[in-house]
Amino acid sequence: MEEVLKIENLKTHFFTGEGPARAVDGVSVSVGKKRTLGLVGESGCGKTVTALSILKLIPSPPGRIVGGSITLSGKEILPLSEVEMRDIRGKLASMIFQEPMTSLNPVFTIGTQIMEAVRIHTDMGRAEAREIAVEYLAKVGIPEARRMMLQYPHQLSGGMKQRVMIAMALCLKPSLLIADEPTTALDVTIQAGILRLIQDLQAESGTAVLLITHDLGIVAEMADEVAVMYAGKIVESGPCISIFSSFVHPYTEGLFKSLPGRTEKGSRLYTIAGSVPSATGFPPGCRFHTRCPLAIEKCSLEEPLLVEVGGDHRCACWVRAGESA
Amino acid sequence: MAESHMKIAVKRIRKDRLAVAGFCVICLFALIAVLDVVPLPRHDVSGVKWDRTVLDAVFKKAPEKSYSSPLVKKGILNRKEFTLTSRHLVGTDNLGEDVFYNALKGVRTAFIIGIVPSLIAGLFAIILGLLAGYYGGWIDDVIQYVYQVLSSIPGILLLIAMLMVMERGLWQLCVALGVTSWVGLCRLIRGETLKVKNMEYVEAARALGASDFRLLFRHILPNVMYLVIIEMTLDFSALVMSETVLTYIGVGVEPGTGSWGRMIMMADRELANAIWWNLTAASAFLFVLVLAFNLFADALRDALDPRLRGN
Amino acid sequence: MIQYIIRRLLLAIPTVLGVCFVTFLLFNVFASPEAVARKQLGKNPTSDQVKAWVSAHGMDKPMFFNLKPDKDGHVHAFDSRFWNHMKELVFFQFPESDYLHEKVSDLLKQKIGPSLTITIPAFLLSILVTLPMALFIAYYRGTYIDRFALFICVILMSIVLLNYIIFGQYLLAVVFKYFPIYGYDFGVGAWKFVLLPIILAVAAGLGSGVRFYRTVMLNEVRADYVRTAMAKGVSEEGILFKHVLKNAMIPILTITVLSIPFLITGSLLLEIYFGIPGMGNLMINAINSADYPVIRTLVYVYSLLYIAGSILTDISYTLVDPRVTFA
Repeated sequence: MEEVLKIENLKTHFFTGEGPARAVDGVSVSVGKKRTLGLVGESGCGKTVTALSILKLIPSPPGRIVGGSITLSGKEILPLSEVEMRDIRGKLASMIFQEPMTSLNPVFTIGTQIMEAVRIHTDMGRAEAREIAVEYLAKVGIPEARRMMLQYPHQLSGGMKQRVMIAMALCLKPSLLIADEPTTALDVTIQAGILRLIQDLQAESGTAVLLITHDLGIVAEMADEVAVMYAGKIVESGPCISIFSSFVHPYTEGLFKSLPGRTEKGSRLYTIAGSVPSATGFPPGCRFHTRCPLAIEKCSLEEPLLVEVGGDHRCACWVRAGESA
Repeated sequence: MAESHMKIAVKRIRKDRLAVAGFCVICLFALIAVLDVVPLPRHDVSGVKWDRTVLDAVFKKAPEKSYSSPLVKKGILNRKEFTLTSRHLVGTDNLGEDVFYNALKGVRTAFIIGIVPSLIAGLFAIILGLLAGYYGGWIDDVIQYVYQVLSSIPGILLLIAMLMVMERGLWQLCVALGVTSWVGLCRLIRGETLKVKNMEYVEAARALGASDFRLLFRHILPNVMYLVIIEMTLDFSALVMSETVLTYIGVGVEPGTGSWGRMIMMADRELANAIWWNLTAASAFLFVLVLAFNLFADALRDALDPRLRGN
Repeated sequence: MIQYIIRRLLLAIPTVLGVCFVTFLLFNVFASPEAVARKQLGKNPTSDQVKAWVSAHGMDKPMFFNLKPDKDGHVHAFDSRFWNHMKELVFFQFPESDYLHEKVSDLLKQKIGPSLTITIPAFLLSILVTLPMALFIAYYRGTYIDRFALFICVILMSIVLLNYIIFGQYLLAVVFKYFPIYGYDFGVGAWKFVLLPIILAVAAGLGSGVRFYRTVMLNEVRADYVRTAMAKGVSEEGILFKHVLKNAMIPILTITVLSIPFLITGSLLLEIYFGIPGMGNLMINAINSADYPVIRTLVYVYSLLYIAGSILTDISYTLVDPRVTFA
């Protein structure tokens, strides 16, 4: 299995007036061809920053990638210049975003916007680009694709807009698709359709997918591998089945226990005590220790390392690694 | 809720060094204006008269006969030289008054003209804007009609018409300026009220049984206030600038009140005789005050912008 | 579209009528006819002269309704100051100027030209200069170029137009003698007289114009669709000149189109200082000499222009923003 995306020890920090916000602080993940990695975590844990770092779309004051390495299909990304990055964005790796409502330019037709993606990266003329755009609009399930080319974004529903985004992202057959909470802003009934679409297109073209979400249900359906993020670090990673059937890290456990489906009728919903720390003030040692029911003294002193707990399943926790108080 | 927003705003403004400098300059000018308000007694034969202010006591000099250049010892009247009684920092004008003193006297006028009309306009704009936005219906239609008609009439004309009724004077000018300039802010407030009144926290308060009055003044108004503050600080410069223009046209403040506009107005004739200091002093004071306000107002607007709040 | 325009025009009628009414109040209630007559007749008129003047101008008629029968015993209820005033304006039968003794409509025709020779070039030149500057600054946003340019803009904005005119006129026309100081030539010779006013008008508006356009563009740059475009690989130039500019046009157009009808009214200060016989000059002279017919006609024209401007703005909105239709 070739690795399309390999992130090693990525560190992206934001330098604000209140001190550096270490949004991503040593993240290592990888995604292989035709595989889907689900990157899970609550809001503010650094998932989106990780995604934006891959395409080097971090707003440069105040953010900066300060360490680590990212490899896309064998290419080292971090040393590339902005001009070289433009070549990669949309062609080697594409991204779709959470808010389809505002992610498309309201004053251009959707046809123009898809064609723009094509014509930036190829030598094609308008007619050729138009054909590709129509082809992909049809592929993502938009009826009357040729007529739809002339529509403006506001004339489409949320679900359709997201399909257009997917068409725009995949029309140049990238090796990696980054999907940042693609269905969070959509109705539940539409969500399934979009997810299935991504799966179908992935099967057809072999694209690797990095799926970012906070919804464990989506992860269960879509992901082959899962990485759980907390406070800028990966706390648990491994094959999806393994994580779902035998999660190890107390944070992952908390996430699963919080699912309403797992709660007995009539009893109170479980919540993880405390709240996510702000990126400028992480607690020392393990970043989860202040909220963790298993915490021992070592947890507040040293940051735990990711260790294997079986197969490809890894966990970063002193207690689970066998340490005792 | 509003206090913590102000604290955040203050913190943000402190970071902008230019804005802080502007604020200091404004304070300095404000001090001068205050000095010009505090009266001091002047002893006359018939008794005590309170027609002198602290500023007069410090800066007023005995008038010379006529023009003189800055920092010279001799002035010229009818081609003949005459000795000056004292050195003047920026020279004297046609009446022999010290130009620097005249410029200082203009500060109080500038502050009054910059602030009072805004307060008056703000009052109209807030009340009418809130009512129009909140109640809608015929109230909204009437208020919109009123301000459409008012804004179709050139401001100069309304001003002059009002001033024809009242006598010339600083306060009359303020009232006239205030009454003719509330339309823009009213539109903004109406728009913002429309947005805010459907927000969830207003719905929540209504669901708890809050009366209209309470909703308007405790929930909606604080969220609309930032517009008022921004507009007031922005308008300060425009109002001060307009005083100079209005004086030029002939509807400014009465003679005897300090006025940079009047000093600039005389530039026409003076420049022809190579007399530049009157114009320069007034222009310099005007420029520094307006610049300070612009820098501060910009920072204030950025600090109060609700979109930048969730940083 | 025609339907929309007609509807807007119909809706505008109450506003225009309101404006006429307000001007009537302003000049008949706030200034007595005798005072106006006195101003017009010059030094020390006799009370007979005053009465004659007032009578000749129809100002001795009742305010609102005339219920006194005339010589033939007929009652012309609508022969009153108010209705005559309204009739004049609504039917475009503009009266004669008290002061200049010409028909106001003739005056308007004479004065519009000179005003336009300044306002139109100033308007176009201003856009041609400030928009590219703002784009340039937006390209370098966040850098020292941006901050420096912004500071310069604030400085330029803090100088009153009056100062630009006085200093500009003094330095460039009097001292360096690059331009004529004052005056106007009808016809082709006008250009040398309007060049300096135009330059000063553009300079005075530079600071606030560049800052405004910059703000509008930077607002757009923060939008989500810009992030999408970057993720597609669009270049910085492409983002600014295609994506941002087209969206920025919407607020820019509001301001710009709204001011087009007012190009006719001319700039008061410029015309006074440079002796341009335009509409601004007409307005100021009319105010100073209490030339009521001219003033009320100008106000009426002004309000029509304002309405025209707002209709034009709304129409241009629909042309630029596909989300807006004639609703």
